Amino acid sequence: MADDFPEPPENGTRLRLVRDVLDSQMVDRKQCQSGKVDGIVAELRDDGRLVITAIENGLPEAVRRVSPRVGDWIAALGRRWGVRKGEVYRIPFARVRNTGIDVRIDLDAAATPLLAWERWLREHVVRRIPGAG
Amino acid sequence: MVSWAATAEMVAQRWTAGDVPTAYAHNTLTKGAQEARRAAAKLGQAPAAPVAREAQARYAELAVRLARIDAVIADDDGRAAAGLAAGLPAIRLKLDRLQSGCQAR
Amino acid sequence: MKAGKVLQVALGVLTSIGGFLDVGAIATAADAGASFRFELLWVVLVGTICVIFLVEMAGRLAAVSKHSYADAVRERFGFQFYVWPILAEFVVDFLVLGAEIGGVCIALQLLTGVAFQWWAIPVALAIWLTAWLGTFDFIENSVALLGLVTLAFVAGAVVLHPPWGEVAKGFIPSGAPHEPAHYWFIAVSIMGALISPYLLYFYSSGAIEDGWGEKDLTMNRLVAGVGMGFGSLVQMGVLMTAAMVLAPHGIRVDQYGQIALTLVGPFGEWGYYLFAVSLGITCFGACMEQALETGFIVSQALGWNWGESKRPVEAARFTMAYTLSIAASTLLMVVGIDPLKLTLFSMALTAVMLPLVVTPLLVIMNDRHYLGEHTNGWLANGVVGLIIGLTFVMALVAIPLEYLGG
Repeated sequence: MADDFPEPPENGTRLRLVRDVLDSQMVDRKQCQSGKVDGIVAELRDDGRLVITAIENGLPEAVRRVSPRVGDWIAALGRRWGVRKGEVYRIPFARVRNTGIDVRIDLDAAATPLLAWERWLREHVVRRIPGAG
Repeated sequence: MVSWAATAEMVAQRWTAGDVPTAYAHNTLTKGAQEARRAAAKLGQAPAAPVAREAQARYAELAVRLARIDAVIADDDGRAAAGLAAGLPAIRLKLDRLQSGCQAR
Repeated sequence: MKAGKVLQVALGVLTSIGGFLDVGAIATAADAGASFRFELLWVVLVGTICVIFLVEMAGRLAAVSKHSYADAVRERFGFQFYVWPILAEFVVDFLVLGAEIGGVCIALQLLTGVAFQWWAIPVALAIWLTAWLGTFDFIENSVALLGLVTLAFVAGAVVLHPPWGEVAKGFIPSGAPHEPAHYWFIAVSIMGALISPYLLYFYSSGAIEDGWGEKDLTMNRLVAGVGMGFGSLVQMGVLMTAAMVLAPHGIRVDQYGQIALTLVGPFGEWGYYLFAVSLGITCFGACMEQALETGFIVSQALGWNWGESKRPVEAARFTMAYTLSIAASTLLMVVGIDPLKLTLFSMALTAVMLPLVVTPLLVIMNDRHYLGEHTNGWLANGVVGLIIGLTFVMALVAIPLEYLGG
């Protein structure tokens, strides 16, 4: 699987962040659907450069783009009741490859909070029902 | 409301022909009688125009007849049901005329 | 075309015919026939042509890009736009699934005499069990093939010897012969029942479940055109039988029980049971599709792994999504909300949100990132443009017409 992973883009390659990265489907090293890119993180460096450092996944972050107040409220609900404790998960941009429609991420999503709800529901609810496989 | 009178009429005929089960006929006739009583009650609250009084009387008559058909159907009396159902078209025609008369005004 | 492919197309066409009807299509067609005889046949025809184009596009998008329509809308337009059609779709899905469950419950009431509310929970359990244990192919094919029993409406229409001259005239668009508010309300409801947003989401998800690729584009066109085309004959059969059995007696459709009379007319006692079985099977199939569609759109909106062909442990969030959807909608029937009124209301609401759902299609179907060389031609673009215009008009008039003529 590691050999399938796309190489980093060449220097000078243009990347349309909003069109081709934001809201795109993330797919991990094992070709597993790992959520959507809900946010992009950029840092302003001392030398004036704006550097894209990470992509984010988390419902509060997506909702904040519509309404910051509602997003904060969802994060608060998540902190109280959620499996991910309302946290938004950041993936360093160095691990990100844009392949046109999907965004490939160089990690195993199952080992990260990206699939925390999937794991929790599987172990605490689904497996307890007969016929779940 | 004339639609419910027509429905009850058709259902009663179909029940006597053995085309629809008793439970279905009972539900339809009950619903029809309910709608007729509701229509009569509503007209009773309206100003005492002759047309309104006539229509109220017809709806009340319809409600009673549907309830009677329902009762004989429960007793599985096909002949009585057919006899009572034969009187439904006349009531429906009167209601139709009263309704058209109101709409023309 | 190879024999295997021919069989696949045949299956696709048959399942489209068998699966065409649902509670909305039955209710609106029967209301149309009972109130206006054959005068609204042209609306069914227009709606079917729209559906053929939309379904072909949804299938083409999924086959070429391996992305569903829901995926593509979020990716192309962003969460800030997508959240609105998605929320609207949740509301409509909740109501429509309730109405479809109601359809199955009414069918069981007709067969057993036991009031429909008592059937709500057993029916919900049956739907859930089928989704839990079944695969996509099994669910789609078995229920839709059983749904071929609805051809009884076509047979019934023929047996009643329709006045073919009047039927032909019914295909020519005309104004309301009487009660204009009611006429246009039914017209909008028929369109809302036919051009259902769930079709776009469900069909594209189904194409991905079935592993369609570029080699399947011809099959997609055939299934959409032939399948939906013949499927609409069944809905026209409902309209025509209502026109010939109910309209002459002045019977309007206020309850599903009245629609049963449309098949009693041509077939007597057999017709009553044929209607109950037809209603039950088509609504059960629609329940499956509607419940799964809720799972699809939530999963695709948020990027979860999904798939009815996966075992529940392999797609826990997806299975919980459709489970909650079934549970919530069942409550509508448990409390005894009239299924027919719920159906007609949700069709009108569907019409209101259609522009939000269909408009992005025009952009996506011309995006080479998704479709490569298979983007829309001028005809498809023209038709989508017309459909979008139509949906805007419908959205504006649906609620006022519901109030005036519903």
